[in-house]
Amino acid sequence: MVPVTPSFPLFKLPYLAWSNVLGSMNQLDLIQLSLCCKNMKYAVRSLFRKPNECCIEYEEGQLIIFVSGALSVAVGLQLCDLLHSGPCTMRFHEGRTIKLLGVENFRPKNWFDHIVGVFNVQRISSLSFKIIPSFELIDPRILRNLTEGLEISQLNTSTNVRTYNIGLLLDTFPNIQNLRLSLKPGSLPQIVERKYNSIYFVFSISVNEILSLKAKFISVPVYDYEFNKVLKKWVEGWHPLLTGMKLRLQRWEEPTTVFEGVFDGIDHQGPLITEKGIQFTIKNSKGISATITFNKPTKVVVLAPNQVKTTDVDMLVADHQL
Amino acid sequence: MSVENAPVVDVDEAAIPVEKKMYYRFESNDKKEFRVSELAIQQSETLNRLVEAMGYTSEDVENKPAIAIENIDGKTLKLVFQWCEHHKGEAIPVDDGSVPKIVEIPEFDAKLMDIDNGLLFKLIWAADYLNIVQLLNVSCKKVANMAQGKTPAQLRRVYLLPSDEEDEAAKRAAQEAQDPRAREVEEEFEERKRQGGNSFF
Repeated sequence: MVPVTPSFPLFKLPYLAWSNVLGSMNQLDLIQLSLCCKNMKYAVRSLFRKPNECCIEYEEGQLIIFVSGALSVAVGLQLCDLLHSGPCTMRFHEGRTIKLLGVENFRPKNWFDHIVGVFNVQRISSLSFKIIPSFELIDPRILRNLTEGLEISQLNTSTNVRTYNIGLLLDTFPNIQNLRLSLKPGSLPQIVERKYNSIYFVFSISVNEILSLKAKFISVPVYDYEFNKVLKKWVEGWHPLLTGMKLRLQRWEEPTTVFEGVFDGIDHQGPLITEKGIQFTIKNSKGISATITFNKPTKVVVLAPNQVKTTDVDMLVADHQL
Repeated sequence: MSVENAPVVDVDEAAIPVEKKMYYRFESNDKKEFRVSELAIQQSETLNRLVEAMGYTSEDVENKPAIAIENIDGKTLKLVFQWCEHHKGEAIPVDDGSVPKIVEIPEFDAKLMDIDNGLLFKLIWAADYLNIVQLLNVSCKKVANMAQGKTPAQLRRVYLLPSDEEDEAAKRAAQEAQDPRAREVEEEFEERKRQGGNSFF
């Protein structure tokens, strides 16, 4: 066997060759390599011409950054490191294995900027909070400073996040345009004043709460009679900019029974069977018309005989013109 | 290397049409000659285009001088043509831009590349120059594997990467060596600025 000389002058190779070498490396090796020097950081970045997105998940104890796109990378920062903001290690997740990476004087912000810089992350597609015991433990402004300069598209909160903390998050990240919330009815005061692009509710909320929302797109489970109330309010002038509504049925009766309940006391035209689904048209007091489309559920759930049949529908209000 | 010793694959002459058994002759920059089958040449986009453009007949191949490849030495070219002969007829992979690139090094290639890093460097350089996509992929993968499990400090040593400070110093030295007058002009400009002058000229 030929003894292998210890070094290889990578950058003496032509561009196509050295970029091929980098392109064949795994995620961890690329991160390690990008930490060697500025030139190598730019070299690694040159592999990712297309901008990537990242998702940030905050769980008790750590902040995990997932870079999606051409390369799937998961790295984490410890909560205690975020609090003290001193030099710290970064945790590289490889399945269940976690490897610690350390660079002298690299603080949480340095790590975050390095990762988004190297992998050409241009946008945070979602910021998710699974468990926050209390913001007395961590000031959300720390997270805002960490992600400064990057657009955050969506905020997700789980049922474990208290309503008060959701309010704090919305105050801290006022530019987030899309929400996916696990809120209970009666806990919406923080969001009713602001305009959003879309709000997705995991649990149902009251008709009054629906009517208080200023969003282009609302997805919420509602009963037929509730949706009927919403439509009536729309006919009276609520949210006049909304010109389209879409329903995803989650019930087991024939769709016509839903239509009857939904349009009770409302003048409508339809049903019209189209490629998009079964459509109805209604008009509000200002003469603005809206199309309501019923789609069948995409997945079928079989109920046990003793179970009460659900009458929920998902209401998606969309396609309005500004 | 003599023509007799050049890497040639045995062929069943009766089974293959005349034009398929044509062997081209190439010469390295240290005057070593190789006979390479037409099918093997197809692995190299550069050579394939070259021989197509030349339009040699079987007689031309024998009678005209060997095609000179002036940038590659015999030792490297031997490896290149061995690889091409072994992989002749195989589809040439298309790069879809995905990272990391999924490349497996076959046993034959691993043995072929059981060489010192100096020769490996030349092999990659040749694969790039001759545009042999899969040879470039496997040889680059071998270099990529050198990074596995190493720290930034170790990687700097493996790939001979200068630190940022060394880079800066080298850049400054290069600038000074290239144009000593530039530094004088810069110093003069700084001096005038200190004296409060608005215009240099």
